[in-house]
Amino acid sequence: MPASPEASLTGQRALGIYLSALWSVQPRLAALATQDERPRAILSRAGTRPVLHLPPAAATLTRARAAHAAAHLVWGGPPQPRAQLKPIQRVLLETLEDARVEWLAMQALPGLRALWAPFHVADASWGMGFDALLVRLAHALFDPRHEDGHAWIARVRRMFFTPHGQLALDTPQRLREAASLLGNDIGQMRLYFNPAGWRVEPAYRDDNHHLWSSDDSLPPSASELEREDADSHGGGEGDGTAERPPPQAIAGAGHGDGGAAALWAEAPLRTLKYPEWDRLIERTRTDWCTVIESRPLEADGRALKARLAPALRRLSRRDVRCHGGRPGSGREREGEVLHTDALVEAGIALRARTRPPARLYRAPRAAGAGRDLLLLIDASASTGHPCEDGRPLLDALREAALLAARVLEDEGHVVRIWAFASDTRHRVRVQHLKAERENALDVRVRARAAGLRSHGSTRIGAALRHAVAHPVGVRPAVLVLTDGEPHDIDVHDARYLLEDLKQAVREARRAGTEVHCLHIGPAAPAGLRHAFDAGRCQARADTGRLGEAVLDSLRGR
Amino acid sequence: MKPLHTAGSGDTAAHPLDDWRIRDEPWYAPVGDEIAAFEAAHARGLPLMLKGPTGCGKTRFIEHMAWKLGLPLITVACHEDLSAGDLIGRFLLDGHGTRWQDGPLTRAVRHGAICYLDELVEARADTTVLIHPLTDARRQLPLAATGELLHAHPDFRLVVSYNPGYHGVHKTLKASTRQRFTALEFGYPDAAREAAIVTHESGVDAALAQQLVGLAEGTRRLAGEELDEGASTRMLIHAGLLIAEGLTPRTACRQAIAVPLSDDAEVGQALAAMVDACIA
Repeated sequence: MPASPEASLTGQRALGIYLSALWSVQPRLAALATQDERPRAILSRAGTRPVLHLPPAAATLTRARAAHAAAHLVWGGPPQPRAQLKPIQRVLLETLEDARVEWLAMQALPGLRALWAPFHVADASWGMGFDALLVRLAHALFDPRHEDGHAWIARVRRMFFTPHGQLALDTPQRLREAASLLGNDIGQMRLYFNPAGWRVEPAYRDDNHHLWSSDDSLPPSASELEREDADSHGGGEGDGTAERPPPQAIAGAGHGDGGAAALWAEAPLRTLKYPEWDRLIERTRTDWCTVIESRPLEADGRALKARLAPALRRLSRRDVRCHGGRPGSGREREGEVLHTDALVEAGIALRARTRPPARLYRAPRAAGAGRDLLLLIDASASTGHPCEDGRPLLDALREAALLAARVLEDEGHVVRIWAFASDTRHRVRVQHLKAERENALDVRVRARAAGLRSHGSTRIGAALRHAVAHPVGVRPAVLVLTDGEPHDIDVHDARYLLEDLKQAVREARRAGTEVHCLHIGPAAPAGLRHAFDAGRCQARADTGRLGEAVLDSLRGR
Repeated sequence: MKPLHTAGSGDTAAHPLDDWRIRDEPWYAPVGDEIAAFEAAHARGLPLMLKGPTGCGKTRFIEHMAWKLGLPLITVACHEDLSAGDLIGRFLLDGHGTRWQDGPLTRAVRHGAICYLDELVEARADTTVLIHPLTDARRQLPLAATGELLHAHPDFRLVVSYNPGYHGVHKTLKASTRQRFTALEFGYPDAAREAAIVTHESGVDAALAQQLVGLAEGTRRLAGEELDEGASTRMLIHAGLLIAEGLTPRTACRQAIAVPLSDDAEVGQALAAMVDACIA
């Protein structure tokens, strides 16, 4: 099996973006673990989604490999039957097809020539054997200005290109006929070919396994993928590194339509690694947890809107009482509203022929506004349990977050809402329900909030590190909304994740981020309270007026 | 159409908005019937909204039309802290007491100019409603601070630009504001026309301009996913200008396109690789 679950592919996300943007192809990228000293990439098109297996290599070679495979995906045809083609003819056809798709790719993206050219170094000094002639031919077809000097190579080039430098072998049928003819040439030249020892050259080209349809009447191919279960590569996720433990979900959570499998099938937007504190060895394990940002599901947010409206009116009245709902009393050099006291002082100063104050306007906002606030919702399976009013706790959490966000953004704060759940250290899912520039009551934000599902476990430390690593404004603060202690199915030491959370909070403090916690339940567990800084873990026994509780937690009341 | 007012046209009395007149014709390549559409709205005094992604030519278009119609153009770049005072004016305090100073909108209303509110959606909602009485048959601007009711000069026109962004993530205009405008939709020109624009504006040859456009098209496929928006025509022109100054095409593209587009390290790697693939 070439794809190793533990092997990682450096620059996987960047490579995926590159292929998607320039080629409009999105093969799954997988690391190829192999002992072969001259490994080649393997492109599989057997499943519902192509899979490109890439051996470990320098970034340039990996990119050259990916670009070549993309050229096959974009300009290649369907697999062909091998029948009646001898090994020499097959490998000739592969060489011609490689040259054809690369020629087309370079017409569209002329910079690719510089990417692939350094790998084409074969010339007459490589010898006269068939293997050497093939590599020399690849060079001659890649670079029309390269003069190899061999008569047979010159003949192939005349077949391949028109006199005007265009492609002459531009259909699968013509390629196949040319390969048959050229194979006969090689036979007459009495050249020997050992298919078992052959490696496609140059090194960036894949093994061309994908060019051929499977044919049970023929002897098995030397290619490893031929023996592989095609479905094992069908349509998986973009993350080729993680183990895949079965996800957990609770029954009767009120959201049975989504299902656990559907949740993890969401396309990951990006994957990041974070450390985790191991209390037993008293060390941080680097790159231990994988946080997967995924696109939230969306659902009809109209019911959510109806429930939010009265609570928002209530909250707004309370907010006016608490904050006066007017510009602050501070003074500024510029502003909209003149500051009465400052004007009186200025008038007095002018009459007294002294210098009037420079700050004549009221500060536009209350002091302390403009903070970067992130509400981090625990969307683990337990939040699917009903709370006192019979609805799932998650309903109360999402409503409270939206309400608080609405009030806070009116005060001038930058507010985001994320949700997280985990499924072992390999999959800590984070979803952005509200970005910093969106209004809390936008249709899309409500749809995302309504689409949130209870699922998985509560690996708070990893989610918190991810939140702290991505501030968007000044004096950042994170509020974790949770119903329980940290927990995950691959951890059996009750203190392990609590100690990690404590460490994550310490790291956040060093990074200048305040971390608060609002626990919903009978009483916040002592371990949870101790993980946060003093006074920053509040508890609510029920979900009544949870929006106000969120605001109070952030305001330290 | 010949400009109605140009420098040296013989007028001796200085117009208060002379500094806002555009002296030389801004080059603009029409992509459709937007010039006729603008002229129709102008003829009827209708407010106009220009919708489209950043750097696709909205501002150049309004400059061209202001020149063509011979009207001064007062541009306000809207931002989230833009206050009512920033638009209509405010009392200033000096050694003799307070005095009123017109803001850019009031100046355009009082003396007759196109007031172009660039990215109106960025302005605060309470600021946006100020323009409402100017956008219907009243064409008035009440100045509460001075007690003045300003009737718009016949040459006053209101034009706003608005970038709807991707997937509705950006802020949106309120319906009560949106429905006061006629609107023109702008997009990036087709590849051939965009290459011609890049060639004209920067001086790079047609082949290189095509490669720049190919790169831009690749980045635009990432819009709304890895990038907020893809590379604009303006970015391509910047790259072309750097190339004309002697930078290698790839270096220029990295400076003008790849690096500014994203702060994400991995997206940056992908963009750099795209530059290498697209630019010979």
